[in-house]
Amino acid sequence: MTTVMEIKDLCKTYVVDKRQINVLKNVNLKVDEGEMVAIMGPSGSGKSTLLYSISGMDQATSGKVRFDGTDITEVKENELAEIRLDKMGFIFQQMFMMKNLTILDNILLPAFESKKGGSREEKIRKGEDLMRKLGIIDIADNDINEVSGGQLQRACICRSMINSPKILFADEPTGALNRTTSNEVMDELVKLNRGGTTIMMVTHDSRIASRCTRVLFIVDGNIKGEFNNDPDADDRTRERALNNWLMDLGW
Amino acid sequence: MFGRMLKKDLKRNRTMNIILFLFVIIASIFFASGMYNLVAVTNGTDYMFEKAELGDYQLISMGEDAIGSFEDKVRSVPEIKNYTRETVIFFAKGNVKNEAGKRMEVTNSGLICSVSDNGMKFFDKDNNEVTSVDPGKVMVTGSFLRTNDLKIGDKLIVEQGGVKETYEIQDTFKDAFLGSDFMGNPRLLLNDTDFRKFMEDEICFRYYGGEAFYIHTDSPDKVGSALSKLENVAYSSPISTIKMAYVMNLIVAFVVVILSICLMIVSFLILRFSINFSIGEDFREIGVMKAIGIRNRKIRSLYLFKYTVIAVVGSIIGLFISIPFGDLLLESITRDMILGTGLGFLWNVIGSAIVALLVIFFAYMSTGKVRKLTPVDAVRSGQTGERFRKKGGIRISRNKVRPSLYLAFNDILSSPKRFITVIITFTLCTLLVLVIVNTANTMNSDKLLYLFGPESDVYITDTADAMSYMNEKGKDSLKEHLDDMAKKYTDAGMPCNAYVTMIYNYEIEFNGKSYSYAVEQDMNNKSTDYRYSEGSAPSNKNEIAITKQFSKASGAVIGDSVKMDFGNGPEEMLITGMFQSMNDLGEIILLHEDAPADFSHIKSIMQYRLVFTDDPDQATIDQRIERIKEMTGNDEVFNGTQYCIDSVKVYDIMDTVAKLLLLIVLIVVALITILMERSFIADEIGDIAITKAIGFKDATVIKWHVYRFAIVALIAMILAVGLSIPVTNLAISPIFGMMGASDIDYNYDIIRCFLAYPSVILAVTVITAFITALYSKKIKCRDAAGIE
Repeated sequence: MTTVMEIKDLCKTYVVDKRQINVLKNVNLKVDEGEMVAIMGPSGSGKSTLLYSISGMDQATSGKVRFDGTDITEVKENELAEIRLDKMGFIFQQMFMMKNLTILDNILLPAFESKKGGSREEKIRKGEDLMRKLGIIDIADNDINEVSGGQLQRACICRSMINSPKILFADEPTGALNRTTSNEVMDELVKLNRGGTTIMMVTHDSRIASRCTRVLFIVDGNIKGEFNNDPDADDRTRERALNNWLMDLGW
Repeated sequence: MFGRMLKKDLKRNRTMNIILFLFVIIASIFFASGMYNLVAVTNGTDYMFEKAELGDYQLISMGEDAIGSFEDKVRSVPEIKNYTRETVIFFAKGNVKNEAGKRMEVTNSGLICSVSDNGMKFFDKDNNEVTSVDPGKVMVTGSFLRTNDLKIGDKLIVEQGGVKETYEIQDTFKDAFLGSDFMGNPRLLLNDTDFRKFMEDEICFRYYGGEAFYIHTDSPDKVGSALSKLENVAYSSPISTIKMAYVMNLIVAFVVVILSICLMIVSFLILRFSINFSIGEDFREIGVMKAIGIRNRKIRSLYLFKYTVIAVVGSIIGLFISIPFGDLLLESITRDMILGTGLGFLWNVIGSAIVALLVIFFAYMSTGKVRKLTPVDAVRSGQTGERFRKKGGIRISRNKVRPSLYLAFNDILSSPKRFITVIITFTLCTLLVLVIVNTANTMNSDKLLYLFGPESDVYITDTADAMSYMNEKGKDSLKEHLDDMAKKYTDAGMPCNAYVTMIYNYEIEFNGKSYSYAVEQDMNNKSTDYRYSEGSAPSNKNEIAITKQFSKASGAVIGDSVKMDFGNGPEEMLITGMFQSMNDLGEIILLHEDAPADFSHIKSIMQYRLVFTDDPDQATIDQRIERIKEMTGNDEVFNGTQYCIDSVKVYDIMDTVAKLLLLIVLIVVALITILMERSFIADEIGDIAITKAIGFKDATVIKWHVYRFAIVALIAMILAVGLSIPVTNLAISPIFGMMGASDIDYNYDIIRCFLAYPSVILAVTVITAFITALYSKKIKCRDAAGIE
C-alpha cells in the first residue's frame, strides 16, 4: 500500500487570553491510499483541529504533514490552494454552499476553477454524472434553500469529488442528518472509498465509524488508540466490536 | 441586562457597527453642510444686497462735467424714497499698472472711490464692513486681484488726468454692486485723503468724474422710465439686473447645491442600505431572543437603542466636520460674495438632526422585520426551508467565463437591490461631474460666440481707446478709426475688415409702458450677420429684433411695434425677429445698422472685431493675433474661443469647480466602495471561506469581489455618460437662459467627458475595491468550519 499522508510530531497550540492551549500534542500518523479512517474522541479532544491541520485548512504550530510527496506545512498559500482544489475534497457538517448559486453550479465551481479535468463540457457531464450517481440529478437547477439537508449533503459530496481528489476530508458529514439520510450518505462515501478514494472523517457516531477501515481515538490532542474494523464482519458485529474497544478506552 | 447585551453586540458586530457609524458621520457631513449651503445659496444675492445696502435701482453718471449733473433729476422723481450717492473717478486699462509697468486687465471702465464717501457698504473677506483704508494703500476686488495675478502687498501705479500715484494693495474687499465676474468693472477703494488728490485734479474731476446713485424705491421700473432720458449715463439698471450679473457666480453656487443634494441622496441610500443590511445580519440573535421568550417590542427597543446611540454620536461628529467641509465647497463663491442664512450654523444643526432622525426612522422601519423572524431562523441560520422566489442569477454551466467573473455577475444578478444602490449613487456622482464638465467645456469653446455679436476672427479689447469715442461726436470718429484699423492690418499683410458693436441706452415704449433699455447696433456689420431664433433680421432702420427677455418683460412679440425716440420724435419700430444675446444679460434690443442711434445715448463700445478677407485657417489667425499684439502693444487680442472665455469669465471657476467636484466625487465613490465592500465581506465570510476551502486562491476571491464593483461602476459610468447630454440640457440650459442664451449648442469634449473622467472614477472604484478586498485574505478556509 502506498502512503498517501504521513504526519509527524504535529502540534497545534491556540493562545486565548494570553493562555496557551495545546490542542494537538505531537501527533504521528500514516494514512495509506484507499483507507477510510474515522477520527473519534470526546468534544474538545482535537479531532476537528487534526482534520483541518492535516488538510491544510489550518496551519499547524509545528510538525510535518506530508501529502502525496509534498510537505504541506512548508508550501505557500497559493500552492496549498491548488492542492486543495485538485487533490483534496472537503465535506463539512453544515452543508455550506454558495448562497447565490444553483446546486449544479456549486458542484461545478471547483471544476471550472481547476485547470485539470478536461473541457467545460466534460466537467459539466462529470458533475451531472456524480449527481445522478448520488440520486440528486433532479435538483441540479434548484437553489440551495429549495432542497433537503440530505440532498444538500450529497451535493456537497459531489462537489468534493468533482476534481477526483486523492483524499476526501469529512468533518462529521452526517452530524446534521437523520438516521436514514446518514446511512444513505455513508453508503455513498463507502462506495467512493471502494472506488479508490482515501477518506478521513471526524465522527461522534460509532455506527458511522464502524463502516470505516480504521478508527483513531483521540483524547487531549493525542492519539490514544487505533482500531481496525474487520472488513469481513457484518455491520452489527463491527459496530459492537468498535463500541467495546471504545468502552475500554473510557468512551 | 440589556446594557450587557448591547455591549456584547457592539463588540461582536464591531465591523458592521463601525461601518454604519462611519456612514452616519458621512451622511451627517453631507446633510448638514448641504442644508447650510442650500439655504445660503437660495438666499444668495438678496442676503448680500441687503447687507451691502444696495439700492433698488443703480445709476452711474460719466462724461464731461458729470459730477453733480444728475442729482436734481434724481431728486425730482417722486417714486424715489431715498438714495445714497458717491463720487467716483473712472479709469481704463492703461491707467493702472503694476510696478513692472504691465497694464492691469480692465474689461470695462473701472471706478476709483473713497472709503469715506461710499453710498453702499463694502466688506472684507471675513464679511466685516470695510470702514478704512490706510494712507498710500488701496483695496481691490478679489476678481481684480485674481485676473491680474496680483497679491496683497503688491504695488499699483494709478495714473489718471494729472495724478500719478503708487499704492500698495492692502487687501481685497467684496463689492456687491460691481464685484461679480460678469460686471467686469473693477473698483479701487482709497483713503479719503488719497482720493481727494483725484478730485482736486481738474482733468479728473471734469472729464473722468462721475457719480453713483443707490436709489431705494418700490417701483424700479418707474424710476428707470423717469431717468431714461438722462444723457451721459454709464450705467443704469434695477437691482434685478445686478442679481443677474451674479448668475455666473450662482451657477457655481448651484453646482455646490446640486452636489449637496446628490450627496444627501447618496447618504439616504447608503443609510437605508446599511441599516437594513446590519439588521439582516442579526437574524440569528433575534431568533435566539425569540426562542427564549423575549417579546418583539423588547427586541426592537434593544436595536433602536443601539441605532439611536450610533445616530446621535455619528451626527454630532458629522456636524462638526460639516462646517469646514461646507466652507470648502463654497470657498470659490464666498471670496466675492457674502452668503449667509440669517440663522448661521443652525442649518447645519438641523441637517445633522435630520440625519439622526432618519437613522432612527430607518432603524424603526427595518426592525419591523423582527416580527417576521422566528426562532427557526436561529436554528437554521436563516434558511427556514421556505420556498423563496428563485434567484435571478446566471448558470456557470451555460457561460464560458472564469469562475471569479461568473461569481461577480451572478452576485449582481442574484442580489440586484444591494448593487442598484451602488449603481444609483455612482451614476448620480458621475453625472454631476459630467454635467459640470460639459458646461465648462461649452464655456471654453466658441459655441457661445454668437451670443456676443456677429462671429469674427479677432477680438481686440481696448477700453481706454473705446472710451475716447464715447462722446456725442464720437460715432464718425469711431467709423474712421475702424477704417484705419482695417487698412493698417491689411497693409501689414492681414487683409481684413473691422467691426464694432455699440450699446446705447434708450427709452422704449410698448403698450403705454416705458422701458429704459439697452440697444445694440453694429458698425460695418449688417443686422443680417446676426443669428435669429425666430423671424427675420431687421431689413430697414424702422425694424428691430428683440430677445426673449424683452418679450417676456414687455409682452411684445414678432409683428408688434414699439416706440423709440432717436431725437426726431417717437418712431414706430416693427419687431421682425428674435435673437439671443449675452450682452447686458440678454436685456437688449438689436437695431438695424441704418437706425439713427446717436452717441449721446452711448453706454458702451464693445471689443473691436476683425474678419480676415483671405479666409485663413485657425493657425494663421492665431499667428496674426500674435502679430497684432506686437503691433499694438495690447495683450488683449483674442480669437473666438479666448474671447468667449474672457466674456463669460466664469470658465476658470467652473473648471476649478469641476476639478474640485471630481475630487469630492472620487472621495465619495472611494468611501462608498470601501464601506460597501467591507459590508459585503462581513456578510460573505462563509462564502469566501467555502471558496477557499474548495481550493480558490486569495487572488481569485479578490478578483471576484473587484469584478463586482468594476461591473456596477461600469454600468454606472455608461448610464452617466448616456444621461449626461439630456441632463446637461435640462439642468444647465435654464441657467444660460437667465443670461440671455435660451438655446445652447453644448460643446461635448468626448475624450475628457465621456472617456477620461468616467475612466478615472472607474479606476478609483476598482483600486479602492481591490485594496478593500485584500481584507478577504484574512478569511481562512478554516472559517468555513466556524460559520454559523
